[in-house]
Amino acid sequence: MSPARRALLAGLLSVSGLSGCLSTETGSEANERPTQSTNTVGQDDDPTVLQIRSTDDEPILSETTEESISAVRNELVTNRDRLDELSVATGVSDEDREAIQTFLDKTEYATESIFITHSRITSCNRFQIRSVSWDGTDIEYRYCRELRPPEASCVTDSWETVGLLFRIPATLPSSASLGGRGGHSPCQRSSTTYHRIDANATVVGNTTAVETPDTRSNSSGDVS
Amino acid sequence: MSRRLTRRQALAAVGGVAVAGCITRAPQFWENPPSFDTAGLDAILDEPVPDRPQLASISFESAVAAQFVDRVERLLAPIPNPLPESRLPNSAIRSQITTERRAAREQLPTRYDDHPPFELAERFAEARGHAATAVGTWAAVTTEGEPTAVTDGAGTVRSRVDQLGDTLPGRASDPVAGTAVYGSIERWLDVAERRTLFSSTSISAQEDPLRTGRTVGEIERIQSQIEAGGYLQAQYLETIEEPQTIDRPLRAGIDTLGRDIEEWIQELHDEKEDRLFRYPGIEAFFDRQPVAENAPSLKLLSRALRRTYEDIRFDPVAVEDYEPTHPATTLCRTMLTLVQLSACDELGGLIEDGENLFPEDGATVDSARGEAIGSVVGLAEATNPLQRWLATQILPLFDEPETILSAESPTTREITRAYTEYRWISLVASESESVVSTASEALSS
Repeated sequence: MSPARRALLAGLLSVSGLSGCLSTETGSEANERPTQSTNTVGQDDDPTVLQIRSTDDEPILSETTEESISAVRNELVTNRDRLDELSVATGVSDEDREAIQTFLDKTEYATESIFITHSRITSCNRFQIRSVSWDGTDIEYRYCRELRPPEASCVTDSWETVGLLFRIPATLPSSASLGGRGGHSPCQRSSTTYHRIDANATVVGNTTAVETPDTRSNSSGDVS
Repeated sequence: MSRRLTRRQALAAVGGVAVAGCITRAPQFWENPPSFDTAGLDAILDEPVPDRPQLASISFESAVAAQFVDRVERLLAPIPNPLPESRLPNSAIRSQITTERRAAREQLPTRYDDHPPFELAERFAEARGHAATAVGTWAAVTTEGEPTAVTDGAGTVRSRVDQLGDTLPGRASDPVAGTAVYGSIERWLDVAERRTLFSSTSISAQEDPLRTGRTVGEIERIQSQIEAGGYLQAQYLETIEEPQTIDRPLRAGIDTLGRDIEEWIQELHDEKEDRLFRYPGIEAFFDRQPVAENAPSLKLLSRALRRTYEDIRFDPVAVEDYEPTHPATTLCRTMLTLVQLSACDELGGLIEDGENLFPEDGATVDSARGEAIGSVVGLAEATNPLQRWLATQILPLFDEPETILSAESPTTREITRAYTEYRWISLVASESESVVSTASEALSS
């Protein structure tokens, strides 16, 4: 897709998304399924994932038909046509709504699939997705949980729903679904910088209240 | 060794026959419990729980206590007060800082002479631990903060633990008094080594600030215990006119109590040595069970035995050639384990006699509480320091029932639980005297 066309579509997205469905394209190009063989087994250790938080405990996407609107909790989106039937839930902020639309729009459905799932997490934590793998019709992902940065506004012990949108670099059969997930908490490694509040925390004076044998003999303090 | 257990061995074969083939479901106590009359519960907590006794004639000088308080205040000083959401939006981080700051201040006593020195030392350690957790967390989220500068590193503190440990047990007026004093100080080191100061323990500024703060707090708490331990040791030594070493008597005491413990455990497991550390099940303590399944007495025995076996597995208890790093605390913990096993045996006897430990009314609970308090007062006022030491270990057992009974409207089950805990306190206290006597004789031989 050319940049100009993408820019034009982005404008359309914001309008159509707000009004309901997520479809951004019409015509044969969007409907085409890849003709090359599908890569049904693989793993991505640095997956492209969009995470959207929802405080109202509802999935971030819903499916609209003539008869009803139903929540979409787990789904593999394999073609752009499907976006016609999906819409962003009302509880999602405008900023996140735009992020979802952009994410879906930037997906090349000829070679990629979008896997949508949801998970629960406390308000002050977030997921780090470590990998996603797919094997036939099973999709699995691995994660860890870590504390959000100091400036993230959150409420202790409050739970939220997180919508996870994985961009999988493979065209998977539409029957593929969540086969499992595994993780641990807290993350062993984190790239998050937590030193962000502009202040100091210097404790004045000695590190002890009274002398200990080693501080008596070595008044310079730390011996390690 | 208990008289009851020996009798049970003789009855074991009969018991085995009695249960063979029995597959009908036994009646469950709480399916049809007796009625409970709440009369007598109104003023049940009026009589206070006894204060913690003195272990030796030493005290925390006011000037020294003030230095510990000053350290707490210095630790808390850099944290903005109040700390509003606008300054630190992440509520988990903000909550840890403010909660720990509050907890630190709550631990600080208003009057130093209201508390015996070991209790004061523990309060200072808790206060410094909480305060350091608060400022360590704050340091981890501030641009100029440095968590590693809040307290000394784990390596430094570990070497101080070793240094203090090398001086313990020190000289004492006599082995019994020395065991009570040094057992308490060694216990701080023992717990620090086993639960906190691992080779991997370190303060890392790269970590989750909540974890960083907690690590800073744990190290500061141990540092406080080292300082207080060294100070109290020096205070104690100043009170002694003719100090004597207690290493050899301690060894004899540990050997004696260790043999008693092994006899107990072997008998509970029918002499099967490879099962020494395995939980034996409460059935080992009674031959017949004339009370309904899940009766409060059975549940109490189950809780007590599990707690005792946790101690046997994880605490420094002299079982199976255990070589103590901290002999005074090993003797104390082994003694406590023996007391608990004896109390379990007594409870088994009550069960055999058909005692379900369900209180008929509030007055029965009140009476059990009064008896528990009386039994602990007896220990706390004893001349033998090891009895007073046991009182310090039993007093925290009041926490759970007191919390239950101070609630607005506890359920009958909860009240029953409180009642059984009071009965347990009395049982443990009543078994203390003979075990302390054995320990004291071994220490003095």
